[in-house]
Amino acid sequence: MEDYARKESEFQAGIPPRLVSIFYAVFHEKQGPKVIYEVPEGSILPTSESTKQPILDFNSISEYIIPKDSLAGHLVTVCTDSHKVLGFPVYIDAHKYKKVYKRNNFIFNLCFVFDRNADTSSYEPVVRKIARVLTSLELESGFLYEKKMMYNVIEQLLEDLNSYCECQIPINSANTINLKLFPTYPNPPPVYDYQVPICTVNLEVLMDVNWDLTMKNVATRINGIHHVKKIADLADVDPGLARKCMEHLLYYGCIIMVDIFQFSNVYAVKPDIMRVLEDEAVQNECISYVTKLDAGPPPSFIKLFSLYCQLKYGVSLKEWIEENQVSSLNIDIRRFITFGVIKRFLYRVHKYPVLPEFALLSNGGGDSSNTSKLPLNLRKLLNGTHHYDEICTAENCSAKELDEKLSVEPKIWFIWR
Amino acid sequence: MGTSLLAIILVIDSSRGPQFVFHYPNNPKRREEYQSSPPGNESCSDSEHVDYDEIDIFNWSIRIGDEFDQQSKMEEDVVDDFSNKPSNSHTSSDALNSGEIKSTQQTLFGFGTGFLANILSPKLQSSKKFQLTIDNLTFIGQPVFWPRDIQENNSDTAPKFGDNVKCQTSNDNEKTQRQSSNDKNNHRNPDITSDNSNDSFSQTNQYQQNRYFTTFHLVFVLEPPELELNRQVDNIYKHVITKLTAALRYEQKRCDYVRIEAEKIIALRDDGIIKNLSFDEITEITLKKNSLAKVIAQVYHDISNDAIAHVIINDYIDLSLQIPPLAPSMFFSPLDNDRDGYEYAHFPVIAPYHTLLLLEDPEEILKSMPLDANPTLVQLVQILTPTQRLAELSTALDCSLAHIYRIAAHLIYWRKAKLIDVISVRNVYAVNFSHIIDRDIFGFLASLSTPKPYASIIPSKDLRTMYLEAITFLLRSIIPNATTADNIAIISAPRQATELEREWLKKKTVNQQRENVAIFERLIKYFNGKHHIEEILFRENISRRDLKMVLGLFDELVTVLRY
Repeated sequence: MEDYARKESEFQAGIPPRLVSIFYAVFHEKQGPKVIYEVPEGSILPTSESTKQPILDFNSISEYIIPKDSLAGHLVTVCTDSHKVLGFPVYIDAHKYKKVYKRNNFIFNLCFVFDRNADTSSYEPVVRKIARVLTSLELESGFLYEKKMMYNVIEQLLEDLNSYCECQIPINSANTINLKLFPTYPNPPPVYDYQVPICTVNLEVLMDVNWDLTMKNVATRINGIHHVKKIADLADVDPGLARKCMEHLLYYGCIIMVDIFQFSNVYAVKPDIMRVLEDEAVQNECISYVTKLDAGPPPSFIKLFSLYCQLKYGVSLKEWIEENQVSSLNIDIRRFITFGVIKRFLYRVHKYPVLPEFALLSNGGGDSSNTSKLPLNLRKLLNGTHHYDEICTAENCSAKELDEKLSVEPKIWFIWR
Repeated sequence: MGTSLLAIILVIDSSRGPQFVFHYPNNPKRREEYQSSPPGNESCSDSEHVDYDEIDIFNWSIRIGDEFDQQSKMEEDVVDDFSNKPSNSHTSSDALNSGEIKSTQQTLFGFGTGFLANILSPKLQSSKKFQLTIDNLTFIGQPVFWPRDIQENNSDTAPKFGDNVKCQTSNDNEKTQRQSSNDKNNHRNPDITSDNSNDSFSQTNQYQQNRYFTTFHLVFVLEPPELELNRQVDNIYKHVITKLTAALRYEQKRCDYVRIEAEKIIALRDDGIIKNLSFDEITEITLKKNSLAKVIAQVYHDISNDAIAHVIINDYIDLSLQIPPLAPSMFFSPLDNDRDGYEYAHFPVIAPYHTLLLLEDPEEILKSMPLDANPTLVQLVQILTPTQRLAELSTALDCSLAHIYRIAAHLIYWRKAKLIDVISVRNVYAVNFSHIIDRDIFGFLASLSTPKPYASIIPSKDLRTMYLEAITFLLRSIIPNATTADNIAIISAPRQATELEREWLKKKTVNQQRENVAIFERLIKYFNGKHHIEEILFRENISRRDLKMVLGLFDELVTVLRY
């Protein structure tokens, strides 16, 4: 299905790009900025025997690779016409660290070269880390300045990061370079108290003893029915922490957020529903997802489709069930709705109560409306930006109870959207 | 989708070395500092081991920087030594600058402006895309080089450019300054060659060669969120930077515009510093007095607000810049999965039964058009009402439909209009908006909340025009993504095997009147969910009532889809 394909490509985007070359450059005491080691050979330094051109002209970017002090200690990415160079220039002062350097300082940079269009977000932590590790190695043992071992290191780095996305390079008895590339995903959207998480994977299987206690506590209560605030209540966890946990799970694609299922809800289809018609796999998935277990033959997809089409503005689920005699069919209505929402061809039409005076008082500044019988904190929510689910969750009441509460105020309008 | 444009910087590099000319806004707002870094790094959820080292990555970089800063303060002379030593190609004009305007050193993003001028002036002359990222800040631009002798020639003719006395004096100032800086350079040059060994000789050569060229470089600073970088950089480079730079280059070649204006800005700044003005005041004065600064500020405002920047450079080049929106109209399919596809893939397909809804008053649009605008375009904007189809408009204007399409596309691309279905009282509208403006419309909006034909809301015939105008207004302003509830008919029948399908249909239609079956069979090709009722009416030229009736009769077979 479409949205899954998109997910897939999003996750693709997080996969680390191919590393074209690594080079190690220093400020040479006589020759200025200079590339000392490179892999593969000839990628940066012109070689005498081959006619192959280096992939980039070091001199043109050397001021960014071996910079003056201001850039040192920053992650610096510079682009040439064809490549992108990631580096973290480090400046070590001889006086400060009691080192002996010919020029009283030592500047080095281990640079990673990619294609110009590569998305290098996943490499950024790695480049920072290796710069830090090399700095401490240098400060401890003069690893860079005295012992000239970098060639082996960068050779293994290139090989292992490209093949395994991680590497482990023993340096001496005390030190090992450990690097691992993690794919970068886009940050998840904010999580709200009134959203209902549904698992896409079996979290119980993934869970192990090392998991955060709060996370474990919260994750075991995800059942596709409870909203976030209820989960927080059940788990006896601060709602803020529960939301944070949900964001983590969303980030890794372990859950999807849907709305609270109620029979007063209104849903409508999106144009995307046409894609379902063309995708038999999703149709079968739909049938098996929405059919009640052990309760007779499954409905045809045509029937399900026309039922989806009957969901529209102005028709609550309850009315829809009555009109179409849905209860006589072998369908789990909650799963029927969530399937549409998850596959993004169905959307919830929310109900927004608006108290015009209040909305126009501009965010409840001077509140002179002594006429209203509603408590102030509830009235504050009636400015047209909060829907029923949100207000019910905040007020800890059902939609019906909220209806009753609001019925004392005759001037309320309801806007569905 | 917007861009995270933080600031625009203008840097020039001439015989005086790189100079930081102007930046706007004066105090750029950084994006909220990586709110506690992406969850991936903190990770309680990741079942993999947590690398605690990774967690403090962000802090760490700062720490190192700080250390270096502190140390540079503590042992200033040592550092000075380091940066002044003319050891390699970056013999710093930085040192020169700091000598000249040390007290005036402003900082931007935590860097000295002199330092920024230096790193933003590429040493090799290639007028290609410049892209540099420092931590989360990305600098993009297209440096422009031109040989210095040309510039010198031009500067003779420059005064004809209605230049006032001030400019003259600043030129004089500059001359003396240039001389002094040249002197310094001369002092330095022997140093360079003697200090450097053969290896870097070529570098020095390049450096010197570069001295014969002058550069200006308009740099856009972005701070995009993770994974957004490439897309944002490409967008702003392609749609804004190259076009604006090309116009400036043209004006520079024609009449030395950029250099003269840049020098005026520098003169204004120096003047302000002498008068002890704050940088905010200086920027304000500069914006008032300088046309180039004005252009930069306007482009910044419009592009960062995701609007169209309409600028006239040097009263000579008329330029409209925008980053085209991904979804210019409601016809855009909400799936954004093929983002990287064809540039216009997200623009709607225009059909004869659509119409245009102007997003501004026609007078406004006409005013913003250049004098030599296409006459048909002007006419179209004048006569356009959203109750007439494009097909009807093309007959009214007596031009081809293809021509109308082009004009429509132009208006849509420049966000002056959007494509809608003809507004009619029989349409069904539903609310989908986020701003509410006026109390009086609440009732109206609430009545739109339950979809029914628009006509049923209108209390009397007299008010019809007013209600049509109201919906036009709503579609246009308050509800940017108002959806007309489109009707799509779809047949729910076995979709493969037409033979079988036909048999089956015959069986189903056997009880119906013959003429109705005929209409049904004529229309059946549209019942695949891809055709809008409006479209079916237009193509088959049948009445709405007939279509309704047929759909009613065959409602077992056909489902009407509304979205």
